[in-house]
Amino acid sequence: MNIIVCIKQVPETTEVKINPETNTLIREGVPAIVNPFDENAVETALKLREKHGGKVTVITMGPPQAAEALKTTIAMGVDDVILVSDRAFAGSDTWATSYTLAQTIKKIGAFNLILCGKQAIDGDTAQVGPGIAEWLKIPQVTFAVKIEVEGNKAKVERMLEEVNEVVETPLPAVITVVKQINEPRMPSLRGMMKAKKAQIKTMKAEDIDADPKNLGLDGSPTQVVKIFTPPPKGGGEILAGEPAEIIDKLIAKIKERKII
Amino acid sequence: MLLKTDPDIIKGYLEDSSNLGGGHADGVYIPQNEKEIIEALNECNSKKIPLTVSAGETGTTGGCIPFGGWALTTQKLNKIITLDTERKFAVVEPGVTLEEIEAAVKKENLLYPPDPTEKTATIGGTVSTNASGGRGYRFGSTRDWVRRIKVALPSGEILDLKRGEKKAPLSTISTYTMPRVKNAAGYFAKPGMDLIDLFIGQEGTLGIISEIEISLSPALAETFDIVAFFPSEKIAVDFVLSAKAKKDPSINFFEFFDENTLQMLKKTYPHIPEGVKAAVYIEQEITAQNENTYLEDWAQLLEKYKASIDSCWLGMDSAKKEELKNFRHAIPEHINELFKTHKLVKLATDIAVPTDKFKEMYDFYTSSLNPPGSSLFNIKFGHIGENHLHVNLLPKSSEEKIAAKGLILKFVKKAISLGGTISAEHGVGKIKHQYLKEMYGQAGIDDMIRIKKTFDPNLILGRNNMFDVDRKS
Repeated sequence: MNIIVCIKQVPETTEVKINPETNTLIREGVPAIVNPFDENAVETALKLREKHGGKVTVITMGPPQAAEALKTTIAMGVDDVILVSDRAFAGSDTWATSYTLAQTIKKIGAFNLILCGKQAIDGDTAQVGPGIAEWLKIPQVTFAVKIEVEGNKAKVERMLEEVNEVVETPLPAVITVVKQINEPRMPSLRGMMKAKKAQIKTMKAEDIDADPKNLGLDGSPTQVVKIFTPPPKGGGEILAGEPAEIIDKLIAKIKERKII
Repeated sequence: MLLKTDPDIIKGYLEDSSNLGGGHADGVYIPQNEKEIIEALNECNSKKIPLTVSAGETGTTGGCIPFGGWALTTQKLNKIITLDTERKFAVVEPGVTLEEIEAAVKKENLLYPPDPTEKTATIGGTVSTNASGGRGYRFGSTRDWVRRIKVALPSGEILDLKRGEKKAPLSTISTYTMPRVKNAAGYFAKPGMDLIDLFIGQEGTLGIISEIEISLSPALAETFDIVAFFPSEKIAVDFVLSAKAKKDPSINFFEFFDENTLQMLKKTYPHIPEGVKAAVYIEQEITAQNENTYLEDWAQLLEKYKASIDSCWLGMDSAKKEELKNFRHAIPEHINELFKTHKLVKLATDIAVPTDKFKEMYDFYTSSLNPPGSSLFNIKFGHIGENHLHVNLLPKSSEEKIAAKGLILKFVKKAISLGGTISAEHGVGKIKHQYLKEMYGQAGIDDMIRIKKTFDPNLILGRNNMFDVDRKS
């Protein structure tokens, strides 16, 4: 069974700082990691390979440094990785990104299953996985918490807000996974040694037969007008002192805010 | 000064991680400056009221638990007074926690190297017990990083002790010889020692530390962390001894997980490989130039000792390293849960022995813990780089409890015979008196009581930490 996993390199959110003047993310000096949900997708692929055999290929669209994210997946044990990187892709929205990845997947060919994380932790759109399915005209199942493959079909349990739903889909299909599906394995020492030596295969716009009008900023129907940080929610206030004092302070606050 | 006598508030000062019950106090002092510490001391000393210092309450030996009298908490003495990034030192109040220090110095690209596992421990508590953690293998104990302290004595006097400036008077040096291993048991004693060293590791029995000056080191360069799994505990021990023999100063620690530890963790960490019997966790400092060489070297050594490099875990980015750190921290968390569930006082060793005796000690553990027919649950884990494993016993019946206590005493005696210590990092507190006596003899205990009386003639401070002051010898 041949599985393609799409991943994204994202800044480690615990370390993210916002530039107060431009209100954009400061990416310099922030460590980059594999989007955590995508690690779950890689783990899902490796588990399916253990059971059904076949090959796991990981692809990512991004700048040259995104190769590091691919190396992490080599260290986890995937068979092959491809970096899809070209200046023409810069500024892609989810429409252009899913087009670019779908073209790459077509080029790779011979796949039974495409796996993605449910969303990236930086953009949080959750649109790229479904977008790929549309471009490839194959079924999509989102928010998978359990996947069982049997022949040309997959039984997928979806984790929704209130209930879980089990659906069956023919393959090939795109399935996006939630973090509850598994615990991603740690990279191994042998894997990391392999990753350090690996030459990362790169594909450019011309290698994936892409229509230039669908690529990058110009190919993106979504235009970002403004990025800003919403005002932080006011934190709670703790009143200190002796119980009698606290009660007085509390009553004063309630009056001040005209709550009663 | 803030005083609390509300029983519900006092209750918050009667526990630590030892599960030692029965603590009680009449009230709690909450000083906010040195003057208020002296006030509390004067009052207690003049009325001969016992006074027990409480800090982060993360200790494992009941040192902060009062049995009568008053408690004094350092929680409001929590300011970082100076952080000198040029000369790499900080002056802090005793109630500052290790995580607060870590956060403050990290921003300046500095490191306070002692790393006891509990980050909510306070600097005052860790100085009082000479605590240490995994990186002690490379960086030593708290003692090695403390350059000056101020101590308030029961007399109300303040001692300002700077390393290298005040020798300990002969009358304050115990006559016993300390083991030549990482040690946190009993008063520090060495001919010609500094007075500051007597107050590091005194467990709140001589004075109350009111200010601490710590040395800082430049932040570590990059590191990678390996958790390797072995087919037997014996092979894992041999691997560590062989890796240590290289004496590479850029290895920060070796941590050990025995078979039962891995079994216990398996529920939370399903990726622990099947069939493995032990694991070793290593932190290696690296540079861009030597990173690949180190990866190759470790791979070679691990394979020689039958640890599969396909299944061993490697953390290179900060997120993965954090996961491995949590994996190690999960051990005491799981154990504390088990002790709590079974309502047991912690039965655990804190023994370290010299490197050339470690194998003998390890074999002794293995043969004593697993005699045929024994079902006493035990796990061994910890700082194997310093020949320092924590053996934890979980007896489920009163027979097993007696057996467990007997076993620990047996280990203590063996360690002493090998030139080791009964407590390498936790201290003695209220639960290891007997072991301290095994180590230094009644004469050693009498020596310590005599020294205590020179600073605390009314025996008010930290009563029954280390030794029983009421017992006539």
